[in-house]
Amino acid sequence: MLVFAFGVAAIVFLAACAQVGSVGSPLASIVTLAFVLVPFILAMHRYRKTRSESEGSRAALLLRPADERLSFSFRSALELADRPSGNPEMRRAHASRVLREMDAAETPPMGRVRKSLLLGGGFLLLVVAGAFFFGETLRGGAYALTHPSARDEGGAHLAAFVTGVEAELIYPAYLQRPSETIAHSEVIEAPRGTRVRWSFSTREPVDALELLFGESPIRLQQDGERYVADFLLREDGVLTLSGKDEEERLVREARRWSFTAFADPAPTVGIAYEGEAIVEAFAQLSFGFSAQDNDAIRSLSLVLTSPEGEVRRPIAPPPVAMVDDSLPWEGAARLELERLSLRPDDEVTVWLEAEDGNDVDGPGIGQSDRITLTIASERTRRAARIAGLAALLDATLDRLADRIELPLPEEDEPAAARHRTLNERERTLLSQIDEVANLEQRRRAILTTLHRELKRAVDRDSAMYPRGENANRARRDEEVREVLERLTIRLDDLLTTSELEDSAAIARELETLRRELVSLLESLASERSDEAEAQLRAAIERTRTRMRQLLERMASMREEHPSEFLNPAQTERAEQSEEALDALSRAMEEGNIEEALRSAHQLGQELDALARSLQSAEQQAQGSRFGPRERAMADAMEVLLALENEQRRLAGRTERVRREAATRALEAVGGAQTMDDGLRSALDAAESALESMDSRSLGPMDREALSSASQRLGDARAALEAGDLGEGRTMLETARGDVEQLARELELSAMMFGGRDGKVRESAEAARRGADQLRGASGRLDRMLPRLADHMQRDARQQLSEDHDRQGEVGDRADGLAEQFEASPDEAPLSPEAAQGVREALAEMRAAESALGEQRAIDAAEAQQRAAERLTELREDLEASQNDSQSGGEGGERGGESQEGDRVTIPANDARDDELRMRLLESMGGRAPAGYEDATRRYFEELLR
Amino acid sequence: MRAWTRVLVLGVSFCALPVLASAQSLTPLSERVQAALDEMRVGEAVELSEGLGDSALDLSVRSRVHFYQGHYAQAVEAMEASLEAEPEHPRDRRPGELALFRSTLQATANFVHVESEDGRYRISHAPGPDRHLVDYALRVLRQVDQSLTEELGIRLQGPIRLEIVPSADTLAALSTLEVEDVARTGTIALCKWDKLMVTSPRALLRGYPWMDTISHEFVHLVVAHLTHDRTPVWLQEGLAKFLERRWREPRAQLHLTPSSRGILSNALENDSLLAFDRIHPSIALLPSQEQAALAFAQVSTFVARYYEVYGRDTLRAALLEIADGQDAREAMATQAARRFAELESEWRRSLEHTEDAPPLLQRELRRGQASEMEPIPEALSEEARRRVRLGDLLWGRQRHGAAAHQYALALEEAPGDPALASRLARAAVAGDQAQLARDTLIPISERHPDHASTWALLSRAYDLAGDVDDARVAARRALSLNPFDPMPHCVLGNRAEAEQERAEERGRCSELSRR
Repeated sequence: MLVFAFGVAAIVFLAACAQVGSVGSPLASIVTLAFVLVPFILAMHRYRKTRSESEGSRAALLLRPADERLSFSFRSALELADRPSGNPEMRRAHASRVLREMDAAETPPMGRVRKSLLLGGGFLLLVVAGAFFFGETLRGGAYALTHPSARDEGGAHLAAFVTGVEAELIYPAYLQRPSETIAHSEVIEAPRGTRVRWSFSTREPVDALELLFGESPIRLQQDGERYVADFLLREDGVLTLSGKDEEERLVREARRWSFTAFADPAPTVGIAYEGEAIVEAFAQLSFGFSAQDNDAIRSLSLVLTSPEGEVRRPIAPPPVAMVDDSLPWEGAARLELERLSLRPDDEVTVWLEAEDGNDVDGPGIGQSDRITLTIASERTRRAARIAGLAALLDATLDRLADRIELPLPEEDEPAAARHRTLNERERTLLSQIDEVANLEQRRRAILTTLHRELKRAVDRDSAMYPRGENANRARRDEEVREVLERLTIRLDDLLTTSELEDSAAIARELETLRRELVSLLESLASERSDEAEAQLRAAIERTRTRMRQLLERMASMREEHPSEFLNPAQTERAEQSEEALDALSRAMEEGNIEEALRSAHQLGQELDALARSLQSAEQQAQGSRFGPRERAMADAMEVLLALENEQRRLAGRTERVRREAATRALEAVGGAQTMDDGLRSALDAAESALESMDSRSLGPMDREALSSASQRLGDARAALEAGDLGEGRTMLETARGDVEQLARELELSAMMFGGRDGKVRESAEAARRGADQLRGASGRLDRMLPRLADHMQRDARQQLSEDHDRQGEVGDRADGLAEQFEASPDEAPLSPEAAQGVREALAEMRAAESALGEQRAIDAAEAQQRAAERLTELREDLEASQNDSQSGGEGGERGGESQEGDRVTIPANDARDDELRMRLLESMGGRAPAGYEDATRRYFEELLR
Repeated sequence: MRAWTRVLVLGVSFCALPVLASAQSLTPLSERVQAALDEMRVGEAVELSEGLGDSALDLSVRSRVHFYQGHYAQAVEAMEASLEAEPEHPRDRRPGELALFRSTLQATANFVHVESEDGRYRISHAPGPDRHLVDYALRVLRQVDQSLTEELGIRLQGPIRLEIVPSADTLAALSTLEVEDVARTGTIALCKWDKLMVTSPRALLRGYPWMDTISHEFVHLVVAHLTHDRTPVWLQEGLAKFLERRWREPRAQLHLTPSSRGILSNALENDSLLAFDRIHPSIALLPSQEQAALAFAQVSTFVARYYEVYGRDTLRAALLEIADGQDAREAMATQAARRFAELESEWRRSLEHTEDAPPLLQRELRRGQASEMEPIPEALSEEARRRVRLGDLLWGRQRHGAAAHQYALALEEAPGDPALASRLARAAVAGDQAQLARDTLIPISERHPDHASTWALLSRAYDLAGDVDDARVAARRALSLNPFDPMPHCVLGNRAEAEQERAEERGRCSELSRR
């Protein structure tokens, strides 16, 4: 009945809504309310009446036609309930029995009445709801009736006067989507840049319509009975509409239409790379990719950043016939690193970038994950070797622990089972040792020996199974354990020193980079250019990367070997170096070159101190951890250096005798001689070598030296052409001395800093070629003279005789040195290659000895010179090889990096380093005592290093 | 004495009284305040200082009073004002004092201050992990206070101030000692300027008996007050060493570690005992830790014998005589009715020879980062070192059984070495070999009773074996040496008698384990 009453009231309300205007008034609302309430009250009254009839004795009457007995029982139960008497338990039992029977009885007539009313009322309510849902006019009337005096903050009447709203969305062209129309929606979302045609009509005439999007007015055009607004959706906002009704009242539409302008999502890009994280500088890499967007992808690029800057490689789109925007764009991109001028150890970050065609906000850019690659270098090779050693140490420790923790059972079967388990693992370990030995060139001999030892022990242990006495098994077991212990200790030694060497090598590399920074800063200070700034930025980036690597290595060492060789002061130094680098970088950003140079100076001091400290830690580790092999090598190197010095001294003495004799021979000849072809071609080659030097890569003093040498060479040629052998020889010797000096200077400079694109190095090589040619020319000139022996004075002959014996002694010592290199301090020869080198020098020494015995000064001097050069070469090779091994590798690198492996020994005294170096450089300019020029030069070079 | 003579003496005395009284009132106030400070009558000095004026002298004395009270900022301010009022002059001690006051102010600027509920004990410490010491330190102070009242018959007025400093450097900044003195003699605590200064056990590589050290310094404070700071250093140190463990024992008795006994025995044998006066002005200035240990052993055995033979009351009476200005040797001799030389020779005769004493474990300051591993002694044989290295490598890979095997072989090479024994026990405990750990550690704990990790590991070994009582005892012993090791806290977290203590220790266990 209640539902029916509501239904009737709703019908009346519906009628009122259809009649009322857009703007409500209290009177209309009251009248409507009255019209709604009257039928509602009447319906309710009828309902209550019916309900009261179902109560009391009348209810029994309603039941009688269905069940007379039940009607009596019902009545008695009701009466007992109204007037309680008798036993309450009895009353409750009676009432519940009646109710049970009523439930089971046939439906009384009242139930049918109720059902009809419910259905009728429900139907009416459905009709009203449908009418409101579909009829905007009705909804407007309802709004007016329910909000009789609603006004906005500006005093305008709120009314629902708009009807038939539609929004046509015309999407941006780049999306290539058809337009669509949305009706009856007050919340609209569309991509930014969508054009919206929003139209509506009004329920009744409204003038002076004003449409606002947020605060901005939008022009309305009338199209028949409809109004149309056309605007571009750039941002989120709300549409509001106002106007004046027929009574000139300001009205505002109660509804608001909310627009959300969303950004077109950027393309999604994926990248796949299956290669190693460390790659060679000449590697060709392949990256799988997959890119997708909700519209078309306009471009896809492979992007790479390195210290040299950013490089973009567009990926060619697939043929148009294959394009289907709904599918991802997939494929593979290749990258040839060789083209990118990368240096060893540079870090390269690679990713993919896709652009869509969004011309509204600008192209949407999607980026893939970034892949960081490192260009293989000595450091990465060192790191790989360290990782290999660490893994091998772990495996060895596990095998050792297995042997200890699994005791050898006495019974055959369990003992054999244990043996099977251990044997299999130990043979795997043997393979691992082999693998690491292949990577560790210098330590191959040690590892091979340990491998052999372990294999022998494991084989002997295996021979005890299945048959073997228990006591023997125990002995073999102990043997394997001992070998594993030795291997563990040796590997731990190697690992510790490798890590320290790595730290020290990085510190030295940092120092090299710092020199490059200073050089670049100085160039920039004299002439600013974008190219120089870019180079400097790249150098800073490289230095920063090395610094990070150094800190990481030190942190890892502190964890592994707490306080054993590293101390907090070293970490502090490293952190201070990092701060100095930051300061340098900041100064560069601010364009303050002077400040940057100051910071570079500070950085140099910190790095020097750090390198010294790490070097000392390394030496400490070597001293405490290393044995016969390293010591034997150090001894041999000492002998080699002494031998080299002695050989140079002897060569110098013979050379002086030769020169004096030649001068006297020239004086004796006193006349013109013509230059032969060999001499001419030697002079041509020397000139050509000097001309090939790029003077722009030289400093002012070196330029001057080159110019002077070229001038002397020209003079020598002119004198020789004129047949003046005396003058020609003097000029030639002067030119030779100048070029020798220049070659040494440039070689030293190249050692410190290879210069841009290795130009300094190239010049040094050219100067050395020139010096060699001039020495050849000089020898040739001497041969043009009469027999020198005839022009030697007595004391000169005496000297040659004495030097014959000395040369013999030096030869004997060289023989001993060769044997030293062939000896095996730990079961492997120290260095057969070095022994061979010494023997080559020895052959020259013996030739010189023989020439000295026969007073052939020219041949003796040349052979002695060759012997000395061979020894120098050998020493430098051994030093480089030691440094390579200590810094973990062999093989050089490109351009300015080729000195990476060279050890730079930092003078370990308390003097301020720069001051010391300045003093050293000044001292180098001084004259060395006769006969000690070479030794002095090497002394200074060693100090400077 | 004849009657007239007595009358004369009395007459003269009565006449002299007003003169003496006026002399007292004529003494400048600043001098009286200074004298009170010098005689450790600090309360009196504070009261008197209220009347001080603004002269340079008054300001400097007031500054000292502030310093004795722990008001460092005021002390600096007053001393600066004094120097401003009257510039320094030759042999002026004010600039030196100002430097000390400033460095103290700076070193304690960020200290956290904690006070007991009754306000009697005030503890200051550096922020951070040292907060873990506070509860224990308060407990120790209370018990020491009570035990010393019983022993020496004096209860200080208070407040008793304890400063726990985070490092030897800070201790040096707070005192007139150099860091080298601290490192050389292992001096890690001081009692001066009416306060106790104790270094946090985390500053030392192996911890140290820091609770007994608080007690030791407290004895100094009480004796200084009792005797107006007139007790010579040798007797001060003898009393402090003798009484330092009284707080945790029912009666005073001598405790010398086996290594100290060995040092004393050797000195006796070699006739190289120190003269008592050589200890002056401080044990911290002796040339080595061995000499410091010898000095402590000598003076504490001397005091212990005096106490045992002549009794506590005699010792107290001697101290009171010292307070009255009597020479310490004379006072002790007078009260014992012996000549001091006799006391000394009796003491020498009482000393026992000890054989097979372990070497003294040097107190090493921690430098740099904390390490899990205790460094091994340099004197170990090559083979022992090799075994330890293998053990450490295996331990690092969690191969505890194999590590224990290697440590055991190392220990065979160097029997009784606590660092090796601890390594072995740690590996044994990790490998659930509680019996091996106990067998290894018990003899070490007897030879090196102050080796912290021995007790910590022993507590864990007892705990694993279900020996709860011994586990508790060992854990508390470990805490009295190094409360920054989580292991004893974890043991007590499970095994302490009271629920509250268990909860507190569990908290410390988890917090310290995270570090």
